[in-house]
Amino acid sequence: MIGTRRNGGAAVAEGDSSTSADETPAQAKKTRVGLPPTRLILPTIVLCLGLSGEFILPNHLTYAASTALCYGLVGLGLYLPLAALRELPLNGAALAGLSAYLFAYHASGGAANKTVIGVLVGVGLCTLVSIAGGLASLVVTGLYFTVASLVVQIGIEKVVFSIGKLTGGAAGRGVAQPDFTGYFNTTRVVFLITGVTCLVITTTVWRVKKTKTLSNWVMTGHQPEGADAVGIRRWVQKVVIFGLSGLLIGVAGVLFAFVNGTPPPPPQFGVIWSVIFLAIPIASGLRTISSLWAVAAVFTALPIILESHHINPNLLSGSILLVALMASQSQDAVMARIRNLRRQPEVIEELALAEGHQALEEIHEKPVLATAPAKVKEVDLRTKVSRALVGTDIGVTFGGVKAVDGVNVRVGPGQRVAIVGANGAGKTTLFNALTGFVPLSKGTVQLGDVDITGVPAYARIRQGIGRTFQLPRLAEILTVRQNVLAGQAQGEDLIPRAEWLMERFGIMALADIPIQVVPFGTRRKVEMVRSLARRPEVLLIDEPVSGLEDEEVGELLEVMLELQAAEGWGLLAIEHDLRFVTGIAEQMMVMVDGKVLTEGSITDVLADERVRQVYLGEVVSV
Amino acid sequence: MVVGVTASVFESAVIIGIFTGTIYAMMALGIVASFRINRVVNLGIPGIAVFGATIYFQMSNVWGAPVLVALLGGLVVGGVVGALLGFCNLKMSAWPRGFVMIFTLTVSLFLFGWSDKILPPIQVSPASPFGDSGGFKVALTFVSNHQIGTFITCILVTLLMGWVVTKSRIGVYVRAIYDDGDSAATLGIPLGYFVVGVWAVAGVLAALAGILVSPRVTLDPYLILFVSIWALAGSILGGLESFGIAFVGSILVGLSQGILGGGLIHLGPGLENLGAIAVVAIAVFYAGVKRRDLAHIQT
Repeated sequence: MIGTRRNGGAAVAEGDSSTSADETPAQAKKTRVGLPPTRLILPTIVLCLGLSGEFILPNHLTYAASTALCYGLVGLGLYLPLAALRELPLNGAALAGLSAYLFAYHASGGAANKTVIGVLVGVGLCTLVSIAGGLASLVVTGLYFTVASLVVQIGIEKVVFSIGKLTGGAAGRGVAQPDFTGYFNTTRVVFLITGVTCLVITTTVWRVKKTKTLSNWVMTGHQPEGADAVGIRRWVQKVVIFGLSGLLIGVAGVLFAFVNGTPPPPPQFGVIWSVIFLAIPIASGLRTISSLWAVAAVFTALPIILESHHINPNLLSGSILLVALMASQSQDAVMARIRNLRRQPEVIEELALAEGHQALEEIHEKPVLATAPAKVKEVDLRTKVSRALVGTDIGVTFGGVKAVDGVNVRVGPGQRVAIVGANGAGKTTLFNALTGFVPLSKGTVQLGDVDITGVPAYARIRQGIGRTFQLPRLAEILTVRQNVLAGQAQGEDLIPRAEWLMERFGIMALADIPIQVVPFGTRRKVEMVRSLARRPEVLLIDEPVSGLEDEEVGELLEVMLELQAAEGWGLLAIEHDLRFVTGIAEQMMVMVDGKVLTEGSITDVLADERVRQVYLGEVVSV
Repeated sequence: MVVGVTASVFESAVIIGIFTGTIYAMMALGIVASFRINRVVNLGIPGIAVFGATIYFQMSNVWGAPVLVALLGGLVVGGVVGALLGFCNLKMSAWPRGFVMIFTLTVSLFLFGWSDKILPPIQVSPASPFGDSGGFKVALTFVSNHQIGTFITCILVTLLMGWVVTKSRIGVYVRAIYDDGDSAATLGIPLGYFVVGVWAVAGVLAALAGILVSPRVTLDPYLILFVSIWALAGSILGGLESFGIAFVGSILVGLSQGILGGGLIHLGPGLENLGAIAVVAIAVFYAGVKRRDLAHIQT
């Protein structure tokens, strides 16, 4: 029963009396706490370091500080694909070098227009190469992407950097610098220009991180299928991330040449440097941008401090890398210890994990809501015009194996169809075929009158198909709310409906908790809410109740039935739990070895002797 | 006559390519061995290769030890360093694999630095275990006993490793751990011993590679680092899982450098690597796509 529906609308919680009507409890709590002062310490230190570089440090250290900014900028460029997409690009140094040499090649005359052309060519080509890498990561990921990026590094290093005309040979090509004398000499002005450039870029990246774009990026990299399931165009996200990454590295390359007065020699852009640049974001723990700048400063300062000890450069680089790795891996433990010493349990973000457990206990006592809360805000639940999803003669082949062979399926508006069958019968593959996650070897898929056979998965989702997965595809490092709202299109406001659904499914208290701490059953609910938030015309759910308690199954069933009745979408469900199947479905389809054994009304199908045999694991031929 | 000379040039390019590929293959075997147990790309291989070769050089050329004793010394040191690296891997089981990979690179850097301290400040080439003289001419190329010895050693090691992994009981255990370490542990397979053991074997192979490679390319850490990068590219063709395909992949890289590089070098400096880079890029994409499709089927 859907709580207090009024005027064709439905209910959403307003929160307790101490919060405003539009605030969720979590938001209200966050507002009360505000930004913890500890979060400002590191940015302040980094800013002070920057200012000291301009006003206090001697010339040679100001030059070193400019170099540190260039390192940091390359690190920031690598941070984006690393943190958002979990890809390790090993070509940062080559890209920076490419940009530096191209810039110097065009700008060496000294004229302003040549300098501008040099910047555009250097940064532009660097961005294009990086974008090409991003597109390649649609095809090869993980280890293969890393090796592919290494090939790009070697290619540029061995081929491009050996062109003496480009690099300017041993002497290099001079780049014009502003000519100042006195206390604010050329070195300090160069540092000022470099610093301001880095500050502007950092602020921009920080702002981007605060937008919903971040959720889309993380979803793209951490759960590609989850991204498709919320209608995210993954290739667009990858082009943007790698484009931005290439842009930052390109700017860093230009700055390298500008700071030095000539681009550093090719060995400075070798493969070892690519690894060191990659170590900067890794050592920063991939969390805050200011920590990244701090690490870049340490990386630059260490060789200067240890210069008098004549330490072997390999030993020094190895030590820096090792310290970086150890720091990144022990950061959680160190932070936990600091928190314990300070005893500041109210800092929400820093205690997200601990809060997760507390909220989970609350959620345990407050399962899926059978009735709406007392105080309600209206959410439009009117029936939407839905279309039928029709699969005709569907076939999917993996190598020589016919996973699905000639299956016909139709889910009309308001219909509820269940698919059952033994493991390996082809149920999930049929789902994947209908939603575009695997290519068809034969057959067609239609949504209403529209043929969507060749349409990619994300576009089918945007056209009105919703789906969940056998194993929930949620980004672990995003919160429940960010997962639900990921992929929200421009101008689309999913928030009221998503919050209403979260309340109905009893997960509202977990809205700002990272997925990594919520249990499996709750993840199922999050995925269900995510699909329903988009008002699907047809919803495909894959084993929705596995991992749920018996009590939760009944409650989920009740909510699903009422929502479906109110909104009129079609439902196609794969489930082994016969109690759920008989409760939710009107029609049933039994699959064996990729084919349909029988289908029809649920009572007729369950009366079929062959269906009983399938359930008992006996061999049945179609 | 011109055709005869062209044919000889081509034959020479092929021979040079095969022996260059053999150098990569030696290095690739160590990379595959360590990946074959816990899916970590061992970038410590070039470091161990350089360090093993340094010990071999120190024992044979400086201390005057017999070549066989020096060879044994280099291999033992390689095995010990490999085992230590394997032990660190066990301790880092919770780390992301990419981070562990970078950790192995730090070990390489340390070993490069340590070797620099041991070696004289000039470029050196240790004596070949197969003798520094002797050989014969094929087409326009002189093939030394060292090259023949390296080639035969490489084939024998490839066959041996392939046999161990596919036919022996140890190989079954290694494959079980590679497939699912936790499940293998529940079957009573001593995970720690196997990881450390296999990484020790990888260390021995790396040291052997260093000892056999350095007489050709000199004992220069960065040259050997580049050899290992080409070796990594060659071994990725087989998904880093197959010794046989790693061998073939490495030979392919060497051949592309020998044949295509021979033709492209006239176009400009540095372009001799272009052919090999293209071959490697295609190989990486092929292997990556194949792996993705396989993952899809398994899902």
